Amino acid sequence: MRNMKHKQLNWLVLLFITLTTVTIIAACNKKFDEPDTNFPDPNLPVTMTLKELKALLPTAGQVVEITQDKTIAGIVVADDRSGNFYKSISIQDATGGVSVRLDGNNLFNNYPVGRRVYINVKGLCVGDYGGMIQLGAINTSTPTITQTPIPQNLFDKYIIKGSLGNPVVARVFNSISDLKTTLQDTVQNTLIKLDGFQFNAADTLRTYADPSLAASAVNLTLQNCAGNTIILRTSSYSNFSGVQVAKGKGSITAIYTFFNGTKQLLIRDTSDVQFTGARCGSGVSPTLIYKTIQEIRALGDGAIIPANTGIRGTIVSNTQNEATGNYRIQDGSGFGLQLRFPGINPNFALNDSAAVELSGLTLALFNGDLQITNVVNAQKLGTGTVTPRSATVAQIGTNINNWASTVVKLSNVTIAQTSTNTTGTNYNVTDASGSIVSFVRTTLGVATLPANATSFTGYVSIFNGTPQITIRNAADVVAGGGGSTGTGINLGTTSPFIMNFNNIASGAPAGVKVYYGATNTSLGTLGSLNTSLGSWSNVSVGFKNFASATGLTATADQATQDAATNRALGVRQTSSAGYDPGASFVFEIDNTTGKNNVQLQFLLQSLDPSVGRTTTWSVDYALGDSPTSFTAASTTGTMTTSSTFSSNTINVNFGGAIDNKSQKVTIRISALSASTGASNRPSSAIDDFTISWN
Amino acid sequence: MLKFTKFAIILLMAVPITSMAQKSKSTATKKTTTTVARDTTITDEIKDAMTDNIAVVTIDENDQGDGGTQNVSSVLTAGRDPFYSVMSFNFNAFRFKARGYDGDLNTTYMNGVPMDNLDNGFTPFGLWGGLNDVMRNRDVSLGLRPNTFAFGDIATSSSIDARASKQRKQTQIGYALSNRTYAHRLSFYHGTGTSKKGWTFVFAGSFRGANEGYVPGTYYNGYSYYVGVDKRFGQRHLLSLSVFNAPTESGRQAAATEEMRKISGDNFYNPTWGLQNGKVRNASISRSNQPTFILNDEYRFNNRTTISTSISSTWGKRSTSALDWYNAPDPRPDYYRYLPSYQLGNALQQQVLQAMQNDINKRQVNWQGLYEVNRNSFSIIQNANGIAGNTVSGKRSRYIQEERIIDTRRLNFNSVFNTSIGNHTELTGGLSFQAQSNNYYKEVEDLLGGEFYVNLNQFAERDFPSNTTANQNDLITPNRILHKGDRFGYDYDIVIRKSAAWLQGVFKFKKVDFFLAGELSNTKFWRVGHYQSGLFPNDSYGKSSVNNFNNYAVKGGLTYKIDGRNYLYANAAIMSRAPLFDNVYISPRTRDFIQDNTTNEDIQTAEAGYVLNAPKLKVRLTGYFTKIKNQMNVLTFYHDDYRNFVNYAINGIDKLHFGLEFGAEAKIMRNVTLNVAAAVGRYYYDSRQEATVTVDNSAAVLAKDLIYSQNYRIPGTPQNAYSVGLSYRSPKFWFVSLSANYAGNRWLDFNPIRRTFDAVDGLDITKPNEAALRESILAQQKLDDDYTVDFFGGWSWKLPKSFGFKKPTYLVFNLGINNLLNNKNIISGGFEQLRFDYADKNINKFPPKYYYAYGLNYFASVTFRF
Repeated sequence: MRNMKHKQLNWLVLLFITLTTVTIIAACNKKFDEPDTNFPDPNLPVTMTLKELKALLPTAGQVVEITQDKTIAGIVVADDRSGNFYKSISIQDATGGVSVRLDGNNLFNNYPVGRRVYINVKGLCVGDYGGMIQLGAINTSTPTITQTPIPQNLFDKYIIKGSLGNPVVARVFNSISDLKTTLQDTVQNTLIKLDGFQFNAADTLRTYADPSLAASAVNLTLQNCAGNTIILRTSSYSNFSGVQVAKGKGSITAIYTFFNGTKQLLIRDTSDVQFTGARCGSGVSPTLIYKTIQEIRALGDGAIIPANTGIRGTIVSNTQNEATGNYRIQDGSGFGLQLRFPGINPNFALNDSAAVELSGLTLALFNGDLQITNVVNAQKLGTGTVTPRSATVAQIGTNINNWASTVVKLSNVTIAQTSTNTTGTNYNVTDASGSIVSFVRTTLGVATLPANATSFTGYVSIFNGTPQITIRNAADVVAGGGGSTGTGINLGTTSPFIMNFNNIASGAPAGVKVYYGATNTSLGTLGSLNTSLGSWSNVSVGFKNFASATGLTATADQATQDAATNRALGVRQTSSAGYDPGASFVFEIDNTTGKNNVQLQFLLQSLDPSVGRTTTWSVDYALGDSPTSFTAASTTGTMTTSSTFSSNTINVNFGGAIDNKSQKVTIRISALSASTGASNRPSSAIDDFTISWN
Repeated sequence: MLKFTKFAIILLMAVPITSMAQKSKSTATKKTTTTVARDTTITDEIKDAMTDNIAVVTIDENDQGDGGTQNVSSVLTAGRDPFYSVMSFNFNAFRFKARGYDGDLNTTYMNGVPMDNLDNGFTPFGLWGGLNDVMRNRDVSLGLRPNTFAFGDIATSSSIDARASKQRKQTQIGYALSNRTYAHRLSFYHGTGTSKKGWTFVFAGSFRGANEGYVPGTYYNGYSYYVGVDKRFGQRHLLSLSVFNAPTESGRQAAATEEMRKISGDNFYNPTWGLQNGKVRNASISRSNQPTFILNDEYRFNNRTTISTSISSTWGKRSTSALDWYNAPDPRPDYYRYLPSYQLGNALQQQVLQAMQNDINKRQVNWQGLYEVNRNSFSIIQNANGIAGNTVSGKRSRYIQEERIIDTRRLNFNSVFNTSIGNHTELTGGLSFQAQSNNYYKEVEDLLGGEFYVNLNQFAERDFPSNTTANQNDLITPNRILHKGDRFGYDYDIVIRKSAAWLQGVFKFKKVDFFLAGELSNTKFWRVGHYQSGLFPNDSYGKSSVNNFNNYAVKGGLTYKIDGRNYLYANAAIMSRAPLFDNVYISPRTRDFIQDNTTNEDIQTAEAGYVLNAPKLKVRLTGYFTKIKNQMNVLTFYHDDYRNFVNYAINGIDKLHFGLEFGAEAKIMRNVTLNVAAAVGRYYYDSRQEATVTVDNSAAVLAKDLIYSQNYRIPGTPQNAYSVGLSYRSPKFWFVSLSANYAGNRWLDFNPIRRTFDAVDGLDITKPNEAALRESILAQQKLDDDYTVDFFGGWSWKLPKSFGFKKPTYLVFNLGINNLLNNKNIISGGFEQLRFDYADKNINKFPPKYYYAYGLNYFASVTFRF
């Protein structure tokens, strides 16, 4: 028993010793020492300025290896903290700035703004990006050396970190034109400050960039009150990408860069944008009383708009097809107005909805078009839509004073280029009712318009009393219907459909053709219409632009004929092959879908009383494209032209044969049989071609 | 000597008799067996100690975010089977896995309770690391044989009897010296033996430590203790309490690419550490402190019937630490963009290579640089801690060391009865209930010179810059300011409940034995979120829906006894298994989404063999065939294109394992034994797996990929392994043994995204170079065959009485040397990185990472016993 106790004592002692040993060893688990960190500048002689460094690159597009054992030093003025700079920092010394490319993310942890860095440039290279000089490492894997960011593990080889918190005073520029875009420009990649700038009105509703990353970077326009602009470029990967821009006016501090001659600013973060003051002018007052454009227009030419008045509407013009600073705005009243911003261009885009302050401005006619100029205060509200008004050219002419600066849509037009200059191209746009001029600026970037269009949309303007129509983009012109046979006649929805041919000086209406050599089974050969003013008694053959017999007498002289605005589509037959017989006026109707009891009425005019022969006309029709057989239609009225000056109303009954056809319906008025009698053949014409239906 | 022999006999008898070989022992052979067993015991002791000292490392990349599976040992406990004792120990260097099975197909019971983690199915060997002296009573059942303690798993089923009264009455003090994970080990053991009043006390403890292990930058600091108390009431009733713990801290190792090995000139290059003011500091520290207690009650009704009931609990934390960073450059020195191979042009590559070779701070963690950044990082946090207007400013850490913690609470109950009916029938059965709750979270371990950190998700912040809440890890306290010790990142529990009942009958007749066993079980698990994630506010907080699985298992077998020495046997099992939590939840850190098809796994397996058990020759030959179906897995990895963590939820993983195992132990002359063992298997993935790809930031399914994995090899183990060993045992109580071990047909773990249509899309197989590229993308890498030569020796010296000892006292010397040839070029394992360069299809952009087996390594111990 005693022995037992002795033994227990032994192991207790051993246990104690073991535990003590263990505890002592455990206590040796000391806390880690922590390194000191303070950053004095290294005692390094700076042997090269940034200006000298950049001078090593004589020409853009090259990459030059630096063989000199030189040290540059600069203070970091831009880092990648916000993500607006990527794999690069910008450093600056007294002689300028340069971008240093570093192959890493979150560089700001080691190279924050304000840190002085010393770079031994031997073994690095200078190159450029769009004219901006960059310092980087040499990539030898390409046929000639190229530049690549400096690898992370070589940062310390080339870059010595210096002191922190060095201030950099941004250099203030008063004029954007003082900023140069030359290769070795001393301002590039330095911190600059511009005072008195704001985002243009159209950009005030935007974010700095596109957080959806649909675009990797976004350009916004900054402008001062004098209207000078410069781009602010922001990466969509920056952490302020989705932040709304500041709406006021003030100073901006940024890194000045350019890309192939385009000046652009890059901010480090949104605190660089101090736009807290009132915008140029007094801004759109929150207490404005808004009027409709109809109410404003009603004030009349020369009216001074009352104080505290504004309008709200949708921009229906595109700056690329307008004079700089000009906008067309239309509102829910269905009226529009031209606005001119001679100073600060708000850069509104098509379909921006905007509020515009008009207080104290003058409503005036300019070339016959109502406008308000010297507009300063406008602000984007969002986007809107305007449904174009469907109209004919004739209706535009009739309603020009109400429709000016509003959007209309023409249907089934032919488009003919009439003249071109350095600014743009004039077109004649013709529908069944007439023609209208459309001017397309080169800046719109729409090369040529198609010869035929099923629809043609644009806003109406007035130039010295004449209506014009202006498209906003290529999508406004929907090509179609044409081809070699031209666009057909769209009867529209309202009966009757009338063609008065008063505009045939600019060509036959869409769907109206002239043929010679027509037979019962053939359209014949497509003829051409001489659009110049014709003479009833002229004996040369051809399809002509005659004065209509309506309102004139057989003895009307040529001056009277030429002055007549009421025109008719005519032909002078001679013995020329295909004209007697064979002259034919062809009307190609797209379809008669949904139309019943379709009837035709037109005036058959006999214009030259000095002839000896009589031509008998007939009306027939065919269905479908490229018809080869025609069915005669019954007519009432005098179907001959001869020496008798006349204008006879002809009624044609198709007996339902062309009702509700979804295919092309061709109606001909032709001289299919030879004329009778001797001497000259008549001058015949068609006018007031009217289709009616139920 | 007499005592030693007696002790060995006691030991043997303490081992529950299960194997047929042991069961058929005749009295005549007992003496011989005992002698062999004595020496084997010494060998086993040293082997146990040695396996305890082999690095346990993560063998896949899928461990970011939490403690992962770092404590999973690939080591099987050595059994006494002539095959397994060789294979499990000698092939450690090659990470041999029996029959190619994953660790979760092994099970371990201690004092009657199941010890396997319910979360991943692995046995947490680390819980009793360093306590080899009390864990020696082991019953390892191989394959599908019947057990006396549980239905069992299909690879191995082990039962450790750590009860005090089953331990030696002895006192022992040991010291060991090694050059592996630890350098020194002190150990202590004292067993009182059972007193007349029925009390037994056992105390054991150890310290294991190294300032630097075999791998640079690793260190080890581990204690362990064990207290066991048994009280016997009469002859029939035994009550046991065992309490143990092995708190351990170690610096970890990480796999590395060949490029980093070349730069550093060291096959054991380890990226986890760096110098801080001249001292080695490891960024990746593993810690574990999880005490366990087990209360066991064994009651013998009569000589035929015993009921053993146990309750156990384990609780505490295990963790790994790592660097975390917020909007700062990647601090890992082996990040691929920092390496020479990433640079453009030879000139830059050379410059970077030189820079990395000349500056250890570019090869290893640059602690100084991290401190520098943090000290200069001034930041202002608005609305800090979710309080409007609360502004906090100061040095915001850009880099921190974080601790990823798993705080576990486990409770197990198990009851088993054994009874024999008549002379031919033994019935065994049991009921068990297991509950485990793991709390996963991160803590700020070291601010590295900064003043605070903020609980924000920088990946969400980057993806949703305009969203002010998406970047909040926890909406309940947004913008939380973090100091050392604060929780952040994620915080959720997983809760698992498993209950099972099983019954087994073993029937023994003169020529034939057979058995039949069945088990029914139910597993439930769910997630409880403590954070409301800004990304998934409606799917992250609170209790998720419950996943419920019902499972069955049936096995049976037949043994034909040709005579007393020759046996033929055949066994088979079919079973279903509930999927593991880890493989069901897609991204439990942020949300409670689970895989679409959460199904049970199905296993069908059969084995048959021949056993010869003669005095001078023992042979075992076994063939097996196993099909495993419908396994799942979730891989999480950083994806360059999405710039975020991508979750690759894989289902439909089928596997096929078949092969032969051969083991023989022959006494070729007096005191000389020859051991031969061979394992030749073929382990295949047997299906095209389906993966659903999601990104951590979004619920949207990015892709559904088919993985062309049919007939890919199951990695991580040699499929061919051979061993030959010679042992000499002197009658003077010393022994030496030398063995040569050969491993072949080893395959590297493959990256599934490289085996998809997208990975090879666009390659024109009619062009030879593109066809070759396609082949190289798809090919699975085979590791070189390799071999090691190992030595063991030992001497048990009974100290002369003249030294003054009143009772028999021994000094036992042991020496084990592994890899005698000091071959440092053996790849022990590795994985392909879970990244793929879709654009250029350059497989070398993200090359595989490997681990290397230690070169010559030793373990020398001296033990003082009395």
